[in-house]
Amino acid sequence: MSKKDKHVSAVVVGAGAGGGVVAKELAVNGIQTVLFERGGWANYDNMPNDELTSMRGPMNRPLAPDRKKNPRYRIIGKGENQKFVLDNGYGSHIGHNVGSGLVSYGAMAWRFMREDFKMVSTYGEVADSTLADWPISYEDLEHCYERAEWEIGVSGSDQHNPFAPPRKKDYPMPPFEQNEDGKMLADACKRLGLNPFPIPMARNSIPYNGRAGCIRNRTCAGYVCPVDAKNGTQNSVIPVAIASGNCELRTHCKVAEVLVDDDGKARGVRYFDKDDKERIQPADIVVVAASAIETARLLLNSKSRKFPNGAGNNNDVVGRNLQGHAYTGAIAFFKDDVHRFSGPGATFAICDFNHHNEGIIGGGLLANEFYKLPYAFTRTRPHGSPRWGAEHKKFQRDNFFKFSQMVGPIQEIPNYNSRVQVYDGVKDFWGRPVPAFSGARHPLDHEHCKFLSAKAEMILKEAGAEWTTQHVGGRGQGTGVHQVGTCRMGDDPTTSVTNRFGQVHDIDNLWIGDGSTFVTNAGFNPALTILAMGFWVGENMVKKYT
Amino acid sequence: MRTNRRDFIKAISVPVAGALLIPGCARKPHGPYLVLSALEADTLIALCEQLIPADDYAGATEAGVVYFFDKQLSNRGNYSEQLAFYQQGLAIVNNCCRNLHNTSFAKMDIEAQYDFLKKLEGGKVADKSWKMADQRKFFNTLLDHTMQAFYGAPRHGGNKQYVSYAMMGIQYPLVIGQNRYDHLENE
Repeated sequence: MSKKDKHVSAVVVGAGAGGGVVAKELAVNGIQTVLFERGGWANYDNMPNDELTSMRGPMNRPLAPDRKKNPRYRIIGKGENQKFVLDNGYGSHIGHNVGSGLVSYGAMAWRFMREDFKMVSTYGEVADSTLADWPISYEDLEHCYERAEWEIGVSGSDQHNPFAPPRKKDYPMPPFEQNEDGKMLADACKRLGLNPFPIPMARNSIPYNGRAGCIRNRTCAGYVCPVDAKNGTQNSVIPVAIASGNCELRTHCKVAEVLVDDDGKARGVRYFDKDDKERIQPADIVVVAASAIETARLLLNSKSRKFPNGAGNNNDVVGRNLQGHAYTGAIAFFKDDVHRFSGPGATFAICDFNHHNEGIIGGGLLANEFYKLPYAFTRTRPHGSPRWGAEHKKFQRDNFFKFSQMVGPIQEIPNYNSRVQVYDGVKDFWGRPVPAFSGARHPLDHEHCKFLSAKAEMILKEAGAEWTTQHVGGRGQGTGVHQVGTCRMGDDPTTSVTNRFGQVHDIDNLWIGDGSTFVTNAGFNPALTILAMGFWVGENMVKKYT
Repeated sequence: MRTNRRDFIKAISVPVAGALLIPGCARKPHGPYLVLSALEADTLIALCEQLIPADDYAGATEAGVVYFFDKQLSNRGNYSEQLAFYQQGLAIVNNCCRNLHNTSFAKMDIEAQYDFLKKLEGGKVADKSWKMADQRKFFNTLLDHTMQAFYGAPRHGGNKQYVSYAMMGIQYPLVIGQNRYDHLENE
């Protein structure tokens, strides 16, 4: 029999972007909270500037879950031909540490645009898609964006972005300067009549919140910041929650099940502690914020009398509408050096192609990218170039500083069959059924990627590139980065998992506090919107319970 | 009974391949290496030097790329599961070279080594027992790991003293804060 911990008011599962914020909102408002995190604290000293073990590297990544202990599967085929195969891709920033992906992310901090909350109203229904309006609007979420920007810390300015949604309060920190290739490409954009502006970044352009300003480290996206100038819940709201005295952070704890009683109420969680011993944490309220894949998996693995197919899943919606981001763009080589490899890279963006493009539903931002490091650069070549030998080496040293690119995340069109299920046939290290993916992106995503990649190439050519090529994304499935949508919010319980406040339909003391509730994923990195959603859910919980 | 050289190699190649499946931990160390035999190490050094040859700048040998393979294929490495794959692949490379050139890969002259690797890249080494797809898989894995060894952090075994960064004109070690001062000077 599992040991029972002392009863608490609330449990939050996952100390990432959403869960960190919700835990803080509860704790500072006097609600006794236990915050569970499957990993520990990320520490720069244990994770040196090392391309191969970074979140973009090929080796085992100290910031990512151990793949052997946490296998993921893919379901191929249907009916009798159905097969479960090991899914090797684990994506870029799926973390297992306090702050989760916010420790290693590139820190772009976008507000979604008004249209992103009203996709069907803006574009109409789309065949073979579950495209829908959100039950909340940009205006509903605006003050939550503001709180996220100020409490987490964002540098930016909307001055040169005519497409920025309206804001009541400015960013807390001034924007970053442009780097060399950023200036060159931004000038090209202006000549084309486009509107370049500095990317809003959850990085300190000046000292902020008791921490240093950014030192323009080139190992930034994929790495821990050596001076802690990159902002996430780990260095902002979670310390505030702990300091309130009402939040206990329990690291290295793996939650296996939300306990739902015969009356259909959540009663706490079953978990494996830091020594992998099974325990029960009873609680009055449970918030799941384990990110879209693990949140869906946890609900599906939480079977009870009233919910035999998983918590909140009596309408078979949990795990469906999985969306990520297909990245797409173009790369270029120039005659002369175009950068000095200082600073993380990405400095400017355009939102000219996020919406109202002819023949396109949605679209995406375009930005210059984080610099490739030397190993990644060995895979960056014009087609047909020698991959090895003296010519490889010469190319590597002659062209490293002559390379630039424009990329962006396309707004994926959600579909019902792109989903997370659980596979009972394989258990992870702790005996929990593993997540299993099935389905694929909507066919339109690839078409939309073609559109955005052509625009990226146009800009690089205008900037004077000697050689360009498009990298067109949009096939496969978004399981590796920016995953959202698996417990979408909505007013209709038959097509959604939570109501507009993030409260699971039919289980009124079970809440979802992460990107799982997103209806659509916009053409923007979702981190700031997940943080804002944490504030939204947290505020609504505080209203209900205090 | 007299046996010609080719038949002899064919005759021994089956038990050799079997022996190669013994896990690395059961093998005795050879010279400076954790898991590689002297022949495997010499073969890897020669293969990698072809992939990244010395020119005006250090090549794979000087960067210590073989130590990356030895460390990463050992029990404490990132690619320990691929030790048998490499041992088999390297043995086949040397068998092919003996069949075709009467000597091991490392002892072939530079041009013959280059030609052999070109064929291996395309899966066209003339050896009926080595399938085209398997040849390419071995080459591509070797190439990818060689690049990781040469351009990755020295703590993984290769890129000694960041010789590849020096070749590319990238400052290293990076002084934390240095970029900030560069940036301020340019304001």
